[in-house]
Amino acid sequence: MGAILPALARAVRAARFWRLVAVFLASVAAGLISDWFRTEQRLVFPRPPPVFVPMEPGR
Amino acid sequence: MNSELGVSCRRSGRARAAVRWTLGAIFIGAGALKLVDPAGFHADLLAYGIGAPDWFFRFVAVVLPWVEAISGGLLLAELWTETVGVLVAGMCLIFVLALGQAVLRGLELKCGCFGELAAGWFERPLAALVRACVLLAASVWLLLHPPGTHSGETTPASGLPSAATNSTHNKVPCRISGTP
Repeated sequence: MGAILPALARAVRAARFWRLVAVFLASVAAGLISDWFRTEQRLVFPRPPPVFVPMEPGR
Repeated sequence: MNSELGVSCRRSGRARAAVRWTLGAIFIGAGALKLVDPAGFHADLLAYGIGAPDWFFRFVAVVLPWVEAISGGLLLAELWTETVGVLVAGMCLIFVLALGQAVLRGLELKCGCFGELAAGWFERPLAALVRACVLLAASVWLLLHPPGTHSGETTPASGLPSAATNSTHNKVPCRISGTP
């Protein structure tokens, strides 16, 4: 355990911050775009509820 | 001496590749299955009973499957492994914490790890917690074994047994002259 924690800390320090940011931003972009183009079950961009327009008599 | 080092390097490389491929495939599968039904995943997230606003869970339900899929793809392609390994280990740690609190609170919920594909005991919180612990251990092992190193019994310079063979401080590079 005493050897694992410093090695883990080194591994975390070896991670490139901007690569983490790039993966996160790519995921956010992909998620938002896929949600926008989803025809149903939208979560971030919910469609407004359909407005009920009564039909005029005779139509 | 160098042949022993080469054998150790090849074994370490094969084990690393196996862990990397397994983690990558699991994360791609989990991400893709969640992408099929984000509303179901959102409902599964709400069942965890974590005190966070609904917009946060909606955001997580939309973004997390893509993080998993992209991380899995990068692991399979062996791109940015040192960074993606940290990301995967962090995600596994979050899964362990979320599932651990659900198990401790005795919540009866679907884990939501593999979308609607998982059913029965596979999606129970305890089984999911064990699975997440295994994934966390695998991702930590991957972090502790970066590419191009091994923890063999001998050092290439002296050939003498190293003091602590399991220590990650004693990693020696695989690519030395005379090593395949």
